[in-house]
Amino acid sequence: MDPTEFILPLIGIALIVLLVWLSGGQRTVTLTREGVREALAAEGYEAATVTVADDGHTALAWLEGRNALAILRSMGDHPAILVPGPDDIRGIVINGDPPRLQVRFRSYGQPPFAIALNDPESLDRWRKVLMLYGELATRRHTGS
Amino acid sequence: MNLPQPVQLAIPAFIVLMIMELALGYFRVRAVRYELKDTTASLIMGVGNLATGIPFVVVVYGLFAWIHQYRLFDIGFQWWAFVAIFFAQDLCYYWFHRLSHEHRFWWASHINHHSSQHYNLSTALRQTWTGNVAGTFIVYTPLPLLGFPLKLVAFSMGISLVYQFWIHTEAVGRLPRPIEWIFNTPSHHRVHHATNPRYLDRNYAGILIIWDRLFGTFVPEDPAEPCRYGIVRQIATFNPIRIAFHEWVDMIRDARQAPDLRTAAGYLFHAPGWRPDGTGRTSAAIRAEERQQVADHRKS
Repeated sequence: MDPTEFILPLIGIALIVLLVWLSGGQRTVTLTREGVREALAAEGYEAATVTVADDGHTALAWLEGRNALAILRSMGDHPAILVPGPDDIRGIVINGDPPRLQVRFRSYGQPPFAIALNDPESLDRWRKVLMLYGELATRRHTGS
Repeated sequence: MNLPQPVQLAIPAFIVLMIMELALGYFRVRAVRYELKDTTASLIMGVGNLATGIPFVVVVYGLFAWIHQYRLFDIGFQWWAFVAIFFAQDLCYYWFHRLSHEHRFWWASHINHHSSQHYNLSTALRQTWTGNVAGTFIVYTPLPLLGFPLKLVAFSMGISLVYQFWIHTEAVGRLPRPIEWIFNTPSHHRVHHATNPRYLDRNYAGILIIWDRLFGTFVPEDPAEPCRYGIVRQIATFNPIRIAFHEWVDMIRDARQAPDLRTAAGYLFHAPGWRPDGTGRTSAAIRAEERQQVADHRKS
């Protein structure tokens, strides 16, 4: 078998990756309150409350009329939105100083999520909301 | 008769077309967006697809050769055989693709192709690593059984794969009406990759869109409702391992935790999103929910 059959495509792939990088493809969306609301609206959701991490990489929103949480992460130049049901969440914990909310999911496609909740007001607000998803301690899913 | 290998021949064209599409986006001629991690993940998935396919060449070829012994007709390389297999293979593709969306066991291997929130030519290469393990080639067994030579079967599958590359783009708008009526086009395939409720699980075609028209799964692209790409529950990772296996891991976990065999089988073979208590967000449920919302909105 001619080795160029493998080498040429690999060179082509490397070239495309290089060109994407050179053309500004490494951009990362920075989440803002307004951006989060717009992204949720595009999916048919209305956000009642939004908290965005200081670094703009993660955000939490409480959805109006649905009594559901939306979790947003910066995924390259898109926000990835997840509206988990209680059974989708394997564990929620708030710990550290400043307090940091960490969520672990059942799905292998959802790596753990973390967001710093710096001001006490937002911490209190989210603590109440997240009670709906179970106790605010590490909660293991039992499959029931 | 020796036939060319369409995919191998087309690889340089794939690369050139991707560079052209990238340039169209960069110079703002078309609304095309490439993102580094997304593109890299798609290309790695493409290479992985080729690599994981190698061991199965022997298995699939062996199975097809065995079936070909019991062929119903002796079909050679006559001109009409090329015409006949074009339609027959495309019909098989339609059903392969439909089954891959409507049953979680096959969706687990196909989902990665839909996991990008981008829609560009690199998305076409975001191919499965596990399709052969899931036995998706079974759908094509009628071709050797009918008597089509194996080389012709392989050739027709290659043609189908090559055709489907160029339709993964936002750079091409609507084509002239007769073409849109007969062929799968970028417009039709954008709908297929969209997560908008009305677009979910539609336009399964490979080359000919007529199958969707025939079997009632066709939906045209509506300029008033732009496509949002990806999957219903967007994955939050560019890690190729997670992209390739996340639905398998989730599906097997669900089946293992099921209280009985019937429920376990439901998790494996019902529609993606199915749950035993009827609360699952399948495509049908999501569409019904949207219809209800529209109806409620009209009432109020």
